Amino acid sequence: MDKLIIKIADDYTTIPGVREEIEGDFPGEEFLEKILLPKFKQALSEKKKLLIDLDGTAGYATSFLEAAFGGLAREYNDSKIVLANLEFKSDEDPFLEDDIAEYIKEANDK
Amino acid sequence: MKKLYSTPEYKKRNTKRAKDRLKQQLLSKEKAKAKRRATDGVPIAVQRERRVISKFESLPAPPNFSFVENTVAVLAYLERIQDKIKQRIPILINLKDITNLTNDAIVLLLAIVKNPTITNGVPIKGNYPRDEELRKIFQESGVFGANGNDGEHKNYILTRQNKKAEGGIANELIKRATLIVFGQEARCPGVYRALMESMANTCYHAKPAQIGHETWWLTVYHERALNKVSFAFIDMGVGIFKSSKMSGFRNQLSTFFGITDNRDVLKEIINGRKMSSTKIPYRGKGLPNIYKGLERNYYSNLKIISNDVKADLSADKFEKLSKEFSGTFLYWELNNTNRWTS
Repeated sequence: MDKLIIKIADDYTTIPGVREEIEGDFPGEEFLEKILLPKFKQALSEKKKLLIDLDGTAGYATSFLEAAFGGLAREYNDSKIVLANLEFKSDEDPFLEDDIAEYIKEANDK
Repeated sequence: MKKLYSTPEYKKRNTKRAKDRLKQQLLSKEKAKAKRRATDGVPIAVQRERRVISKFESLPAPPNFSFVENTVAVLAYLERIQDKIKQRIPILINLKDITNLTNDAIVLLLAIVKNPTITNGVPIKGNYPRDEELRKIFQESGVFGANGNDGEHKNYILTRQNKKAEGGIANELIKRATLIVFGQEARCPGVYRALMESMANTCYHAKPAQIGHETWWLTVYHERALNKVSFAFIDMGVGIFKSSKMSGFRNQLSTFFGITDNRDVLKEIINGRKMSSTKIPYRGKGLPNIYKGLERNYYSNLKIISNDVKADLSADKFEKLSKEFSGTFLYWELNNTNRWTS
């Protein structure tokens, strides 16, 4: 099965910010809106998985990851569809994948 | 007239006056001599500086000038500084006799003396420690001189300030720190995360009504002998527990679990029980994740000081402070046993 790929360090920035633009540059909300959501929609329509390559950046703030991936789950109001169609590559930070999965699962908690 | 000058009363009064004048003249002469002696061989610039400083009230700093080690004494010292500022008395921060200095105290001083809303136009000066090593650290910090942002030539300490979360600053400081600790420029995702979350917390939690108004300060200090780099981050906002948006969470903790002590509130926060001080359920993961960074060995010796709580999270020690700190302070260290990536 073919995959679409987003490499954050190449496609967005090597120094991701936090949640919102008001807090600083390269926020998670902007990444969601400009890159992640359009690509995810494309992946769903083409019945492909979307691979997120997390390596190559300085690191990630929790709020960036939550805004981006938790935000994606809130867009669809469904964590399962997001988890089922995303894959992650994170050789540099072994904890990232589990952290993101947790943010996606908890995104719609009331 | 002649008769008046020759009267015994006049002669007695005149003699006394002459005696007093002579005494006064000799005293003035002696004073001038002493002054000359004191300044003999002292350069004019130093003499000028001394004259200026004499107009300031000297506040001697605690000998152990370390916020993490001697928290209450340093807070008491800051209180004295702020009292003098309220009275509009020019202050001399007297560091001559300090015997210990850590970068956390420097970042605290920076946050005060470089903040016009705190100093309120009251002149503040300072002198440097007598101890040569401490003096060097302090001079490089830029507290009493130019801002330390031109950190290119600094060996020991780097200072940064901003109002927003700046990934570029975090990245630059990590590169420099890793070059020292690991011998090569590297990435530390956990340190990056902690820095970015701390900066973002300042935007929202410092003074919730004014997003992005509060300035954060950060110093990064290289302790050569121990080959470690310490990060000290501070904002002078309202602190974790006095954030107005925190009140709902605290009320819930109090009602449902009987938790009222801020030490217990902090334990709940770092363990992730707290939803968020911003009241949106998916927020509020910042502090728990900073704590996770310690558990994952991204850094060591994590400490938090805010309001009436001092927490040494590495040692699982939570202390109630007898003096309040209005703001949030975070400290951690990077050493060669911590996790990094090339």
